[in-house]
Amino acid sequence: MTYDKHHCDLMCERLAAYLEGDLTPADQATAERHLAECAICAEVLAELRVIAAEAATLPLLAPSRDLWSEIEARISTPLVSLGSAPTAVRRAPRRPLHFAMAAAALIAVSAGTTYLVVTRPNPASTPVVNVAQQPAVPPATALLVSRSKREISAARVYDSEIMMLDSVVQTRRGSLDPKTVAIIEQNLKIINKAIIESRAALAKDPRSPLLSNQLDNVLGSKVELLRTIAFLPTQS
Amino acid sequence: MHAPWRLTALACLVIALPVEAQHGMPRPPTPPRHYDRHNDRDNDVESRIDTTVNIGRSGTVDLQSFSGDIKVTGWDGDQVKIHATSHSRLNFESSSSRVSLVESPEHNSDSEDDDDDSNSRIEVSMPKSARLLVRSLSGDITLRDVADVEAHSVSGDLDVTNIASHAVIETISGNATVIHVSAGVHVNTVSGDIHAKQITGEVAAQSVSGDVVLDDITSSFVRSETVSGEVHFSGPVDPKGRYEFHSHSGDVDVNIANGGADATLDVETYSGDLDTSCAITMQPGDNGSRRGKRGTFTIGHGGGAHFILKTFSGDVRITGCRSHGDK
Repeated sequence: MTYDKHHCDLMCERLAAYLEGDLTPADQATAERHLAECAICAEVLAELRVIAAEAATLPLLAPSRDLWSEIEARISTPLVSLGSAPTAVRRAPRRPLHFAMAAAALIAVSAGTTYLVVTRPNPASTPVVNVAQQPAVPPATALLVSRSKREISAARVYDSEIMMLDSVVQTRRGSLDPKTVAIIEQNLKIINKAIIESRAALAKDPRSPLLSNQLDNVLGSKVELLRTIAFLPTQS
Repeated sequence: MHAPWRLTALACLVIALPVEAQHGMPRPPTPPRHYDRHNDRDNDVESRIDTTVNIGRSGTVDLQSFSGDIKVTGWDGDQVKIHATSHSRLNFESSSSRVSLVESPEHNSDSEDDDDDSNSRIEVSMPKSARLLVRSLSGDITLRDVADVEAHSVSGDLDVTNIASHAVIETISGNATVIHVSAGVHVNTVSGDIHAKQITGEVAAQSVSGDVVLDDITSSFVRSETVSGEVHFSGPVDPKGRYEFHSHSGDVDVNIANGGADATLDVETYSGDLDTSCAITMQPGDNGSRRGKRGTFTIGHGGGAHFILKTFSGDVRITGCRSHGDK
């Protein structure tokens, strides 16, 4: 095994592009040479491939309405205070760089999954197909129904990612600067309040595109913030 | 929504700082001629680096500080001049294309006052066209006259001026001030305010509770989003441009500098007001109310630039419009 900071940093930066085949031939060759020599990066890549493969097997999310109350309840759950945060389960020690890169890979794949689900058109939302196969449903209604499904799918993906990231964040809180943690807590409360307000308004006006977008935006903001926390430098 | 792989790349860069610093990954020995550690005060050991190296104009300068301020200024030469002092260990590396200076979190001092980082500082002069990566935990970052910049801090403020290319700026609680950037900026904060001024190129500015003030922006693509902060934008409108501003509870304030331009505005506020001095034209099918509702409006002849202004409980203000024919 060879550890070389510069090449490992470079590999870390290019790992996603390497996996997607987006590197230039020269960069691809450089990456392959490094991966052949560096067991750490090779293992991270292998783990990333496993995670990506597992993520690819996830079904296209289109849960039924009966999940809504559970999702809402979980997202609305107040934050656990720092004082009562559970102690992280101690695992066998691993190389810190390895852990960090694996965490980066995990979150990257998670981010990619979220990105795809919340941005790509849901096949069910194609109006031609829906209208053709279900002529009894007016197009506007079909669009509304399919949009609702997609919104719930997006909400579920956001919720899943928030839960995953939150568990990462919980394990990191003790190592972060308390002042920073206080700021983060304060801003998570702001976001949670916005989520609750958006959900309450959406319950009254479920057809409002503004409220749907608003909810997506604040959920997205929460995911972004949790990701940021997951990668924050620890205090010295 | 940001592209996730781009986020990953940024994440990789950020995460490298604590991991290496905490666990002391192996690195080449620092050239002794650059490095000096001595006792300045009692048991307080100070690390100091004064050196000049040549990296060429397309090289990369990578600076990481835990507590000290970082100040970088671009110059016309091919050399990187570094003056750094710290009460922690300074790890320096250089090659023909890259310079790296990392301040370790391990404090050298036996002093009880470990928070006294008043003497910790990194000052660098570098080729204007070289790439610059800067990361700081609590120190402030000041960057002047460089080209391609990526700067991250946790609590330190970021002050970035005269960037010839693109700037990526991220901080948790620090304020971000970015002035005169030629090829776009991407600014993220959590609680810090964002002030971007005289920016050309794409602008993306995002905060949770900070205000976002975008002044004198010349761009065909601007997107800004906050949760509880306010959003202010002023600048000329590109007829083919897209300008998107979101806030949850903050106001959205847009001033169109060349207000005679044609534009279409999608404006929505759930419980706020719409306030405008512009002669707007309601589109068929809109509710016709200017309070707490949605509307698509046109300025001038319509078409042209596309504005999207959305807030849940804040107000939307649109100013700066002139009637066609006004001067």
